[in-house]
Amino acid sequence: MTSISGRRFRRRAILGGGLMAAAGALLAACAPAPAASPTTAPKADTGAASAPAAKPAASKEVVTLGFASQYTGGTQLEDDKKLVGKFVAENPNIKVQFVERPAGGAQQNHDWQVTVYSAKDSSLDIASVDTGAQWPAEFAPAGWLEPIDDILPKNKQEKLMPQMIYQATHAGKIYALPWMNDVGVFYVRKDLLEQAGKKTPVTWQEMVETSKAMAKPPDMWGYIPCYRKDEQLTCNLQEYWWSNNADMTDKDGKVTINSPEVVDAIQFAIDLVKTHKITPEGVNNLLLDEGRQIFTEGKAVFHRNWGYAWQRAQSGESKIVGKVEMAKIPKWGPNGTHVTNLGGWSYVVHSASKKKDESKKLISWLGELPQQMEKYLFSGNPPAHMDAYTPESLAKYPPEIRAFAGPYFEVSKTAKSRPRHPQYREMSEIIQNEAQAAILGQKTAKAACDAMAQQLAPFLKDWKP
Amino acid sequence: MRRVAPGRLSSIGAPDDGEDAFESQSAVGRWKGTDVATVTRATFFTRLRTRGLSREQLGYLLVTPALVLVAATILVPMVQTILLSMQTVRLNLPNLPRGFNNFANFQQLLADPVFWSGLSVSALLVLANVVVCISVGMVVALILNESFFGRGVVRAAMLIPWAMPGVVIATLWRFMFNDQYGVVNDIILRLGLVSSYQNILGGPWALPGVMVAMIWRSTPFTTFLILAGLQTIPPELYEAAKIDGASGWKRFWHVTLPMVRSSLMIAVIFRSLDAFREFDILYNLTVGGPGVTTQNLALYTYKTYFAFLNFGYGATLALAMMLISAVVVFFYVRLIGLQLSSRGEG
Amino acid sequence: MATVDSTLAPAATTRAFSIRHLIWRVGFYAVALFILLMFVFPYYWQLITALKPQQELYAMPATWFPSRLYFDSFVRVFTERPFLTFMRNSLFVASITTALALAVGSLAAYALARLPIKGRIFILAGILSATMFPGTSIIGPLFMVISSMGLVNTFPGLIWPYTSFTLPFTVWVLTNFYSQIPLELEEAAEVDGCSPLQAFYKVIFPLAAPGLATTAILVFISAWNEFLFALTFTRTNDVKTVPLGIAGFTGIRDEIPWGEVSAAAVIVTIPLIALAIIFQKRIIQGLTAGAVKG
Repeated sequence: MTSISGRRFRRRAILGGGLMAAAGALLAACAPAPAASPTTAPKADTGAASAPAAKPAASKEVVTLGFASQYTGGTQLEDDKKLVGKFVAENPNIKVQFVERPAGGAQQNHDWQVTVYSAKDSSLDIASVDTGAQWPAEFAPAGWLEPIDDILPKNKQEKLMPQMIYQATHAGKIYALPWMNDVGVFYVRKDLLEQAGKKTPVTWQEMVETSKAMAKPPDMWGYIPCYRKDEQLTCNLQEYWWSNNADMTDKDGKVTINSPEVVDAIQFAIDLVKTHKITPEGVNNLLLDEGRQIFTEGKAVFHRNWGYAWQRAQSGESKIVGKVEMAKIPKWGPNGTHVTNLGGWSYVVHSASKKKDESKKLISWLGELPQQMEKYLFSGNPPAHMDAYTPESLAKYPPEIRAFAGPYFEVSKTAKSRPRHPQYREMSEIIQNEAQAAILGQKTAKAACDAMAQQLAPFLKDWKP
Repeated sequence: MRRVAPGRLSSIGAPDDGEDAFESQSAVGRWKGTDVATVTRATFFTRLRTRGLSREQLGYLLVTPALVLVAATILVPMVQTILLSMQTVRLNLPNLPRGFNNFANFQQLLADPVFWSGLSVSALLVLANVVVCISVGMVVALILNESFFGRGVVRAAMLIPWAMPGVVIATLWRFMFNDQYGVVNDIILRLGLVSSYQNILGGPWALPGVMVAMIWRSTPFTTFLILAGLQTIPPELYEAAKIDGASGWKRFWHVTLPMVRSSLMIAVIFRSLDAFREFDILYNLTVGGPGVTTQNLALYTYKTYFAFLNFGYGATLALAMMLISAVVVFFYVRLIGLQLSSRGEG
Repeated sequence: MATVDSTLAPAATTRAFSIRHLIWRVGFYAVALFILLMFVFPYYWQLITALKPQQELYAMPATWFPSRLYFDSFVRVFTERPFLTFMRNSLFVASITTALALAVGSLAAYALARLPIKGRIFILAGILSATMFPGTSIIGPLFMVISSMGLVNTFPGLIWPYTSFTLPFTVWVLTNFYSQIPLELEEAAEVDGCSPLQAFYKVIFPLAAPGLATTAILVFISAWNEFLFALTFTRTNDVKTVPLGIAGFTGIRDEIPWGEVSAAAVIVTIPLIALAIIFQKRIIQGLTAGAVKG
């Protein structure tokens, strides 16, 4: 009896084991071999990609770093690869593999990056992160970022935009190396204003009046903001209510997002489209750069965008070369304030990286002045290194960029940052959901703000600005 | 099958581990290369027989691998979802204390307007899909049930939407719905339905737009389900009805419809479940926007998990989805289960 | 019975009837043609979008026929994007998934169809329910498991969930196919001295081959098209599958290169459409058999 059942058991184990082994063997065989792909990597990368896991990295051994650029495609990504290529040429023991990010806006980028981090996926060593949207405030406390005080001591930090350094610092350590100093800019068609005998508007209300006088939709719109459901919408709205001296909370952390000032700001966003008809309804769904294209096609008088749009407006694809002027984001009536939103991107090193030293070396190099200036020229994204705006540096830029960079730098020093909250991503989405409902006419501005307040309350309970 | 698998292994280029595993674990031995196909199989099965494994034991043996895989990948995560739903877990706040949180997530769920709007979007998508797919599917199935010139072409064309990846369907419709150069705008403008181009996916028409894309994809499958039912109707029934002088409409109402009732039921259940879990098209067509007007429960759950990293609350949403599906599945299993058991006996 | 004449119009020879008959026929073909158009037009639009010159894509109003055929989008898909890598990844993942699902599934299906297992109904009902649950409802814990095993961004990290998720369907459909094979054949084989497994291998398996082929096609297509798990579990181009690859196509600054997206979409759907057309009867039978006949 026993021997029979024993044999049966063994037989069962044999077949079961065999199947499992077959499955295991198949699975083991399919581990990705990036190098084997004939289309992408050259042979040199081949060994590097798999080597580090096998042996402890000796100093002269070639390592490959996974690098997530801010750019999701096109010429900017190519130029970014070329820039990093210079570093690779100088450091034969380091290779860099660019990791593709999803397109569609900063938020989708964020979502992609947090899944990489929460999976402790060590294939991503370096990433460019949105400091403005408070990614470091989420990533650093989560333990995903490597402190970089060793490559960015205080004396080097002083050379970089102080607000960005502030956003990159947590619990006394610095986690991100700023490279792009991004703030909101109000772009104005000075030629059209001159023809019409109008002045550059100082307040939002003046902007509406001027636009109404000049707009002839659909060939000429008054004002192009970005209301797509993305961080861009939140940025635009924040500028409206900040300029109206209002905010999400007061100084003590009490929720004030349903205050009359914020409701007015939301109502203003709606009126631009619905009442004044100086803004196309399509802005609800336009990507940031699609809105920029309308402006550089010469189909709008005013446009709110970031620093990069200047260079686009002066490039070959633009129909308004030399006809654009940068202005301060308008204020809210005579008692309002000119406020611009602090954006900006920084480099970070993943705490799960197995090649931290090499990663730090690369971002440290990218953070140096010449590299930041070079990146400015090919991408249009203004640098976070303050020496990039000294007279000597400005002299190295082409005249049309020089004309912009100086004033831009001055404005950027006054930029206001978004709430520094580890769940900012989720809070921003609540604002977008409700604001879009109001813009679509499903809710009143007041109802939308009340709904925001109700949903944001749990996040703001123990939080102070 | 076995002949295929090792061949594929060696062509991939790292068969060593796999074959070692085979040799060490398999008492039969020599499960290598072509041996597997020729020698081993015969001896293996002969031995199996002579050692006398009962039919029932063999049955369990054969079923086990499938059950283990399904349990490990589907059942275990289901249980984990239930456990997570009762805790506060945020992957971006790894130091939060774990443990039972007194159903805080469920309280949040009931008070969460985004959950309720997600639920209503899901419900609307299900409703529109079921109604349109079933009625259009019925008409198309009736047509395909006739023989006519070009029937094969129509049927093959119907398979196109079914075979396309959801991503492709979404990008395709996104371009057709484009507010500036989309062909849908061109068509509705030419038909005089609108006076200017509309921002379909960015305005109040976003949800109907999503529905169109979903219906376009799902109608073929529904059609084939109904068609399969139609083909089981014996022609004599129609002959008899015709002799009784029933009109075409009456024949449909009194003969066709009752006969395809069970196929229709199944089509309704399939459509409901599919539309309820729709993710690909929404994610790639509107990402839930504008606002939350096209964000269904699946998309909201996904976002809560992977954008907000709120795994506790995400699991609560997932559990809600599971329970809703479970109700539908329950009816389906009962419907099919009846047929199964009756066949099992008979 | 199955002709237009016999069911839709009374078979009659008088003149009045034949006119009515004609109207019926015209109406019938008009509806059939309309259906054909509805289902084909979007695909036609995709095709011409892929073939239009760049500037023509942004023409207002849209042009219904490309002014000239332009194959640049197709070329760029291969030269400027790692599209071949995506195709190769998808082919690999879908093939292995199909092989595994069929290997494991056909054994289980045979047992469920033929061997006396207690709780057969429960197993079948459980398997059926498993196909019905939304992937989104378990993706969170699954992500935690897969990432803790270090399988994120690897092929096994995709093949494992794909196999498990297609397995219930495979088992269900194959059980159905096996049940349709006459029991007598097998009994005859066993009288001749075959074991149940030999009977399966020598008798059932060849007879079920068409069923297996159908199931293979269906599993392959579902793995080829899968998006949710690919989105969650893959990161880099050397692992990404085609749907994720296409979703990630971008232009200079996040805008969508419609020409290239369409070209890529056309390329990936051609094999599927070919499969669908060649095996249309099989596919329809496989799709519906499991559901309708139980």
